[in-house]
Amino acid sequence: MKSQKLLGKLPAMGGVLGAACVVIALGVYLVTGQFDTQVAIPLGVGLALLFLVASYHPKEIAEILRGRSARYGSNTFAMIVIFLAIVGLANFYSANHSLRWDLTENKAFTLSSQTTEILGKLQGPVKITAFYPAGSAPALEDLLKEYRRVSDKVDYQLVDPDRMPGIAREYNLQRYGTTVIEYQGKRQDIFGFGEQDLTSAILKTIQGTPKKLYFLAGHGEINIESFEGTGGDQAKAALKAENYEVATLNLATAGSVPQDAAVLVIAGAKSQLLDDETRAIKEYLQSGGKAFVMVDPQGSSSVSDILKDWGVEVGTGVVIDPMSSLANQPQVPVVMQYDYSQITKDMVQMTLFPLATSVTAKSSVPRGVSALPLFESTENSWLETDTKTIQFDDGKDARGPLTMALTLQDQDMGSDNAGNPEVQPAAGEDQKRSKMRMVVVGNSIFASNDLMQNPALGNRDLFVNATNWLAEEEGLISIRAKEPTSREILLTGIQESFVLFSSAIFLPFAVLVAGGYVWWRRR
Amino acid sequence: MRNILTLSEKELRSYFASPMAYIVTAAFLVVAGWIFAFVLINSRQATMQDSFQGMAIIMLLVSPVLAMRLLAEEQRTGTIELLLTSPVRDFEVVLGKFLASLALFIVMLGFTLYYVFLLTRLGNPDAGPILAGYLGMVLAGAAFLAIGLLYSSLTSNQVIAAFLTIVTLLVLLWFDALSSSFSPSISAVTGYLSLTRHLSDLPRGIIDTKDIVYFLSLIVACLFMTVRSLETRRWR
Repeated sequence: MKSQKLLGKLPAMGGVLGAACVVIALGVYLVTGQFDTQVAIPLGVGLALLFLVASYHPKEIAEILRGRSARYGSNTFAMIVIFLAIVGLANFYSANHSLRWDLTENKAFTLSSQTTEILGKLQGPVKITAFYPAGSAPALEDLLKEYRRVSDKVDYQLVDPDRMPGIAREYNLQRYGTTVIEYQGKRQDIFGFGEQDLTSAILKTIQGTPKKLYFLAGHGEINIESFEGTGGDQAKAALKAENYEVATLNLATAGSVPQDAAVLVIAGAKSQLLDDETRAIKEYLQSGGKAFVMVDPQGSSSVSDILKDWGVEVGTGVVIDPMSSLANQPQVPVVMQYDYSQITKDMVQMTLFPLATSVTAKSSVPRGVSALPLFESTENSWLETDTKTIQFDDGKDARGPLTMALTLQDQDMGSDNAGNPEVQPAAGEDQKRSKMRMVVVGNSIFASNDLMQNPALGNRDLFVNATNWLAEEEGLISIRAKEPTSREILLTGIQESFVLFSSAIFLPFAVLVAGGYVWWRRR
Repeated sequence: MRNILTLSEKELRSYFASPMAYIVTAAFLVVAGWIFAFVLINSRQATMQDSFQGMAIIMLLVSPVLAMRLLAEEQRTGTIELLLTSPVRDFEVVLGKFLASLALFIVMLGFTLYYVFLLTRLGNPDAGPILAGYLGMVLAGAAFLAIGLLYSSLTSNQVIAAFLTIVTLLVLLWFDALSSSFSPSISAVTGYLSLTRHLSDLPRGIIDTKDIVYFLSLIVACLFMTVRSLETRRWR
C-alpha cells in the first residue's frame, strides 16, 4: 500500500527532477558559454525524464495538447515570441547604430576632431590599461568610454594595483596613475589623464620607428645599464616607456654622432673628452643636433668648452640654498617653482638637485639662438667655490638667484615655444636645416636611479619632458583641455540645514498633510 | 482613445482617494531628499547626477508598489470580469491603467524639481544633464511600472506582484555586475539588458538613442504581454 503510494508519486518526482536538470544545463551554459558534455548530459537526462513522465500519462498529455487552452495558448505564445523577436532586432540595430547628443554646456563628453581622426587611423587593436585605485579616476573612465565608442579597436581596462598586483607586476608598474597604451607591440606609458595625453600617446605608438637616443659614454657619465643608486637604469626605463630606443655611444670609436640620433645625452662627463670627440659634438650641434647636457661642479672642462661656444657659462662651485633645500643639507637644492616653458608647464612636484652648479646664459649667446632659464635657486642662495666652509664670501661667491637649468634653441619666425619672438633669424641662414636644441642642467645626479624612482619627486617628469622637447615630441598635437565650468556651491551652516530639512522633511511632510486633508474631507 | 483617458482618470481618482499614494510619495521624497541633501553637502557641486542615481534605486522599490494594485486588485475582487465584458478593448484597459500610474509617478517626480530650484538659487547648475536626467527618470520609471503592471496581471495577489517586480528589477540592475562572470557572448546580452548601463549616460547629459530604444522596448514589450495575459482570461 505504502509502496504503491510512493510509486504514484514517482512521475511527479521525475518531472521535477527532469525540470531541475534542464535548469542546471541552462545555468552551466550561461557560465561557460560552451555547449559541451557538461551541458549536454544534464540537458539530455532532463529531457529524457520529462519525456518518460509524459509517456506515463499519454491520455492526459494528449488531452492538454488537443484542448482549447493549448490552441489559444500556443497562439498567444507564438505572438509573444514574434513580438519579442521584433523588439530584440530593433534593439540590436539601435545598439549598433546609435545617435548621441551631448547636452553638457561645454560638450564635456565630445571628443575633439583630432582624436577621432587619429583613432580612425588605427590598423589593429590598441590596448589601454589604466592603473588607478578603484573609483579614483571617474573622468578617465568616461574619457576611455568615449574612445571606445568612437573606435571599436580601442580596448581598455581599469586596474586597481592594490587589488590586482599581478597585472601591475606584469606591466612593471612604477607608480599609481600610470596609463599604459599598447599598439602593435609598442608600449607607451603616460601619467596624465586628459584627452591630449591619451591621444598623443596613441599617436606616438602609431607613428613608425621609435626615435633613437644616444648616451655618451667613456668619461664617467651616468651608466644607463647600472641598477645602483647612482646608475641610470631608471632613466633608460623612463625613456623606453616613452617609446624611445636608447643606446650608449662611444665617440672615440664611432668618430661622429650617428645620423639617426634624435638626441645626444651627456649625463655628467667627469673626465676630459678627446679632441676628436669634442669636435664631433660641436659639429653635431652646429648642424642642428639636439643635446641634453648635464654638467657637475667638478665635471669635464671639455663639456664646459662646448657650452661656451653657445654662450653658456658653467659655474665653478656648488649651489648652496639654505632657504630651499633638504633639511641640514643646503647643498641639495629643492626646486618648487619653475619658469614657464614647454618642459616645465605641467610640473607640480618638487625636484632635487644634489651638488648642483649654475649654468648661466651670457651675452655671447649666438645671434638667432634663444636661451631661456627653466628654474633658478632662491635669492638667498649662492655659488660656493670653497666647499670646505659653507659660508657666503662676498666678492668670491656669486649671489643667487642662480640659473640651474636652461634651454637653447635656434629661433625662427614661426617658432611657437620657449622662444623670444624679438630674436630674428640670422640673415642668409639656411632655413631648411634642422634646428639646434639643447637643454643644459647644472647637475647630473638628478637623473640617477635613487632620485628618478622616488615617486614623491618630479625628477623623472622633468627628465622625460626635457627629452621629449629635445626630440621634438612635445605637443605632437594640441587639444585644448576642456576646463569644466565651476559648479561649486559653498553652503553656510544654516544653508546646509535648510537644504537638508526642507528637502528631506518639510517637502514629504507637506505631501502627507495634503493626503490627510483629502482623507478627512472624504470621511 | 477616449476610453483610455476615461479609464486613466478613474484610476487616478482612486489613487488620490486612497492614502497609499500620499504615503508612497512622502516616503519617496524622504529618501530622495535625504540623498540629494547628503550629496550636495558633501560634493559641494551643483549637479543632480548622483541624486538621479539614488532616485533610480528608490524608484525601483516604489514603482512596484504603485503598479501592484492595478490589475491584481480587480482580479481579486472579480471586477475584472466586468471590465473585460464591457465595451472597452483589452489594450485600452492596459494603457489606461499604465498611464494613470505613470501620471502619478510623474507628479511624484515633479516634487523633486524643488531640488533643481535649490541648486539654481544656490549655485550654477548645468541645465543639459538635468534635463537629460529627468528624461532618464521618466523612461526608467515608465519601464518599472510596465513590468509591475505585467506581474499585476498575472496574479490576484498584490504582494506577490510587487515582490516579483522588485526581484525582476534587481536582477536587471545587477546584470551589469553579474555579466562579468558569464561567457563573453552571453555577457554581451546580459550587459545590454542591464539597467545600470542604460542609466549611466542620461544623468551625465548624454542622450543616446540606444538607451531610449531600450526603455521604450521594455515598456512596449511588457504592455504587449500584459494585454496577452488579460486575453488568456477569456479561455482559461
